Amino acid sequence: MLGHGEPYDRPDEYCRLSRSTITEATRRLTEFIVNKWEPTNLRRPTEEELKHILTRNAARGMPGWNGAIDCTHWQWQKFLRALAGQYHDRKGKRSVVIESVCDEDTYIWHFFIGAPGSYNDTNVLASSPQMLDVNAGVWPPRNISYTLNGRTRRLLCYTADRGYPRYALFAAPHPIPDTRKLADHNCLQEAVRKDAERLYAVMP
Amino acid sequence: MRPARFTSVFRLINTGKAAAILHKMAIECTREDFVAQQRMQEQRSAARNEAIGGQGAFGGDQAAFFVDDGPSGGGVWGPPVSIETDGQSSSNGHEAEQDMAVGSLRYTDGAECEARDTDAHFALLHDLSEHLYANRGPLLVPYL
Repeated sequence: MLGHGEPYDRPDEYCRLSRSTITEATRRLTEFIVNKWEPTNLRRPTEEELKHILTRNAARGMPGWNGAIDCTHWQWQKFLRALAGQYHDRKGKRSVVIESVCDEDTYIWHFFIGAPGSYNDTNVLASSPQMLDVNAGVWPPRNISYTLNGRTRRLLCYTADRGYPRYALFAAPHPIPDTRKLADHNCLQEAVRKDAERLYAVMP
Repeated sequence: MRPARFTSVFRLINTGKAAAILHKMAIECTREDFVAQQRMQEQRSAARNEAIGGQGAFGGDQAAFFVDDGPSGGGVWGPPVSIETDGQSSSNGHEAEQDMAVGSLRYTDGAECEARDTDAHFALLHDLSEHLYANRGPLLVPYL
């Protein structure tokens, strides 16, 4: 049901459960999972975990990077007519937007779902709790620094695609990679950035 | 993600979160077999053999990060500091900003300005390009 988006009344014959029972069981299961594990599994990385992320990304050539950030649209099939305009995305479907940060193993370190499908990456970022923490100076931590090209920085970054604004928090690809140096940069940046794309490909 | 079939946004959000949690649990159980993990183990063993690596670093000629008490200059995270002038960073005219209380309006305003600084973004891209170009040989190998 959760993995394949089946209708509630489709597995009633081989599961021998009624539609209402399956509906209620799915609701209880999701609420149980979220209530029990959301505080431990959908939280910011601890300092030890952050050090591990930084070490791994430094080995990939991106010191000071704590993950790849990206958004995707989750199509909403049974949308409410009253919300149709708000959740109308650029492909003409109704969807909600998911923003997430993940590492090389597609392990999620930030997950934000619920923004209307009419939002683009920048709008979602503006309403994301993570960006609110950044604006408040709570995240990323101030006591960790890294050295890049002979300069020491403290603001840890995310790899992002061209849809994200040109903030110091994000390492987007070069807009015009007209030299070998910039093309190599874009190649490696894309390799790290695609972690988030892989996450959306393997998530149920 | 498969099309959602719920009629309320709340259930949609709950289901998405549940899927993310289950995904994380699955990754925790299976990540030892990932190619990335195996590559990391090889790099770690290679670094150990060559006796390279500082504080938490492997596979490189410098430490991945440093942990200290916070920025010595001004600002929330502070501007980039050259290694040559690292010791003199406190005398660059930002002494007044060191006393910013965490959570104060000035602090949050400074944090927002620093995080959204476009010039800093392009300076970061420039430094990253230089860094990657200097080490492009080993870094590009997994992707070519």
